[in-house]
This record gives sequence, structure tokens and C-alpha cells, in this order.
Amino acid sequence: MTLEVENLSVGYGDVPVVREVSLEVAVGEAVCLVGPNGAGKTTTLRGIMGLSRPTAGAVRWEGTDHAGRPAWSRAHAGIALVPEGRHVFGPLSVVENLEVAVRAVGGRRVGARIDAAMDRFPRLRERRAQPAGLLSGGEQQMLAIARALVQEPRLLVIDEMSLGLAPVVYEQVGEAVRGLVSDGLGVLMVEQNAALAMSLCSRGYLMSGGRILLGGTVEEMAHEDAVAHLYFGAV
Amino acid sequence: MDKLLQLVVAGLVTGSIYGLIATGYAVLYTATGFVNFALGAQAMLGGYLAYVYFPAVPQWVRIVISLVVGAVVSVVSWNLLYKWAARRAMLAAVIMSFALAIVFEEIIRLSAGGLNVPAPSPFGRTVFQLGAVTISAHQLAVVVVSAVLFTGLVVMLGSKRGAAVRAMFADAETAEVLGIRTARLTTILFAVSGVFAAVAGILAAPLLTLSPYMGLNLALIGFVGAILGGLGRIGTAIAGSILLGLLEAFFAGYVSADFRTALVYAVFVLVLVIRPAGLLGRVAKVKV
Repeated sequence: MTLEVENLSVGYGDVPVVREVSLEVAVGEAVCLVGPNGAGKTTTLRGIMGLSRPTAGAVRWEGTDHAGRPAWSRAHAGIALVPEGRHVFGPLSVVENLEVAVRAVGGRRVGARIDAAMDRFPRLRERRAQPAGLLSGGEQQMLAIARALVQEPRLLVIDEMSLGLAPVVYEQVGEAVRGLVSDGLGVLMVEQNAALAMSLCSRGYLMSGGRILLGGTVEEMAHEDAVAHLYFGAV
Repeated sequence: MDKLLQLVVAGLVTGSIYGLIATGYAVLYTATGFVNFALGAQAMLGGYLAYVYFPAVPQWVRIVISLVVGAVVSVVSWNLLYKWAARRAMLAAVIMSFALAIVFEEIIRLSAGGLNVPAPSPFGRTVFQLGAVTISAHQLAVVVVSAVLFTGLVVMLGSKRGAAVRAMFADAETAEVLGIRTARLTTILFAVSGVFAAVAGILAAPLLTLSPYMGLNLALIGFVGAILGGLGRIGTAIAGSILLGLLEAFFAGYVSADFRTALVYAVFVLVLVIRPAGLLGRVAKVKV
């Protein structure tokens, strides 16, 4: 089972932001999409998730092209998103955030799934009855990840996880992601912080100016001049 | 004291009717950022369907028709008209709702005439005497029916299934990407607002008599009630409407009945001056 993004173009109005992006993520591997600010990573992700309508291209997942479908269809097909900026439902309690996510995809064993997520992030159990908007940034990130995991996805898409997270919390969350991948989950990470992303992933793609410049294993990418140039050379 | 209690009764009755419209505003605004000024005209249409058209049909059937048409008109106008305008500019959709209200007004005027039509209450003419306070069966019915609808809606939204709606209220895009079918929920909320408006029209008609032009006033006063409490929350919009009804009743009873409408709009202006950002700040930023 693989996510195959083929020649995806996404724009706002008539302005194309992302052009002919192709990438693949298989179940059981972690892949990162890195690039400097403004490279088009988030727009690519919005196109994949159906939040922005692609002008061309395909988003194939388990044999279905989701490109023209409404955004909710991905979650039902086993793709879960951890959005940039966390976007937990602030007025809802921690438990309600998780319940709503399970029910949204018609999931069963709601209680068991929530228990499992809270075993993974014990802090959430302590805060279960609190409105999510009152959690700290790190706790909200845990909730955003837990909210995606209780949907029992086969592919987890994580947008800019490192933004606004203390390094300690990032390490903790990163450890959880590693565990998930070895359990057979596919992960697509979009990260501005290439070093952090490449420490978690086995393959990566580099984006700049709305296109994919190169892709390969993280070892290969670490030796590419283009990566060093984009991140460090221009400074 | 007796006068005070009598005014409380009157205020609760009108406040409940305003609240039915205000609930519609609050539900739609929280879900979509859209302010539907056609709700008053939809209430008027609901009244005509229940009391004027098809006189040969039993009234309970006409009331059912009125409620069903209320839901359908609301849903169809959103999915066929407002939604598309709102994608480009929310203000265009809001103005469109005023235009649609006038269309409804004209359709009714041409088909039923422009004169006021009395509407006999389906609850009969019984009047109860509670101490010094008199309350008609209809007034009682207004308060009870509204209270049941408000409670039902609040309980539904607070329930586990209602959590999906609250999630959509909090962050529609994230709700959608998590698999919540927000377009479908929005359609349901439009149906609810349409039914509430029809109920408002059915309940208001025996008190006000029916006229094609009653809609605008209901739409505006319901809106004042909603923003008095806060448009972005259902409970406060209902509370604001009941407060407005009470204010209006007290003003009419103790100060001047002639200036009661002026009072309503003075409250409107005051609220907008004191906390305009609560209203306009959010209209601009909400997406469909």
C-alpha cells in the first residue's frame, strides 16, 4: 500500500504555487518533505489532503484517486493528518477531541482506542476532562498526534511538527513516531527543520520554488550540495 | 408587583419568539460565518402556510407542511444560492439573503394579498388566571414550545454526537480533514434554522396578525437579540433574545409603548458601538 502523488499542481485562484509534484510513501516507512520557508510544502500537503483543490495531477491511495474528492474522504480511507499549528478543538475536552476523531471515521471500540492513545501519552490522561484550548503547546501537539492515531490510520501525515515545540518535547514525540513506523505505519512528514526531519525518516524529498528538486534516502540527501546550499549556502 | 409579573410574562413570550430566530442566526453564523437575514421572511412564510393557504386541509397538517417547507427553503437557498456567493464574498451572500426576503414578501403579497390577516391560535382561546397574572393558552404554548426546542438543541449539541458539530464550530477545516462531513452537518443546521424560523412564524402570527411585511421586523429584532447575547454562541444568543423581550416589555409597560421599537434599535446600536469586533471581526475571517 502506497501513497502515490503524481504530477500534482496546486494553486490559489489562478496563481500556481506547486507544480507537478510527484512523491511516494509506502506503509512502514517514514518519508520527509523538506525545504525552506515558502517552498510550497504546506500547499503540497493541502493538495494531498484535499484542503486545496489540485489543478492537475493525482493523489492515489490504495487504488483510489482522491484528487477530486472532498477532504473528509481521506480520513475514511485511512490517512490521518496532524495539522500545522496543532489545531486541536479548543472548546472540546481532551477526551471529546479523541472521541470525535474516532466517530468521524466510523470507528468502533472508542474507549479502547482512547485508552491506548493515553497509554502512549500519559499526560493526556491527566488532562482528559480539560478543554483542549487550555493545554500547553507540547500537550496540544501530543493531543493532535493522539487524535490522528485513534483513527487507526495506515498513513500519518504530519505538518511542521517542530514549529513551536521545545526540543525535549520534540524528542519525545519523535520517539513515538519511530515506534509507529516500526509498527507498520506509513508517515509523511513535512518539515522546515531538515535535520530534525531527516533524523526520523529513511527517505526524503527536497522542495524549493514549488517543485521537487531531488529525492532519495536521507544518507544520499545529506551529501547533496543542493540541500546544504538551500539551507546554509544562501546565508 | 402584579404589573411586573404580567410584563415578565409578556417579555418571555416575545423574547422566546425572538430567540427562535436568533438561534437560527447563531447556528448558521457559527457554522459558516453567514448571517441569514431571510429568516424573518421564512418565519412569515411559515405563518402563511400554517394559517392562510390550503384552508380545507386540517390545521395540524398545514403546520407540518409549514415546518417541512421551512427546512427545505432554508437548505435549498444555502446550497443553491448563498453558498456560492459566500465563497467569493460573505457580504454578497448576506445581501443576497435580504433580496431573497423581499422575493418571499412579494410572492406572499401577490398570492395572499397585502392586508393583515388574523391568525387564530391553534391552542385555542383559553385564558388562565394565576393570581393577578393572566396568561393565554397561546402565550403558554409559545414559552413551552420554545423552551422545548431550545433545550433540545442545546442537549443535542452537548451530546457525544453533537461533539462533531462543536468541532466544526471550533475549526471547520480541521473537522473536515479528520473525516467529519461538514457540508452535510451544515445542511442539517440550515434545516434546523428553517424549522425554528417556521415555528417562530406560527407562534408569532396569532399575536401580531399575519402580514407579508412582518418578516423584516422579525429578522432585525431576532438579529438584535442574537448580537445582544453574542452571535457566536447558541446559548447566549437565546439568552440575549429573552433579555431583549423582557427589556422591550418593561420599557413598553413603564416608559412608553410607542417607543418600544425605537428602544430595540437603540439597544442594537449601543451593542454594536460597545462591542463591534465581536460581530464584524469574525464575519470577515470565517471561511466556508
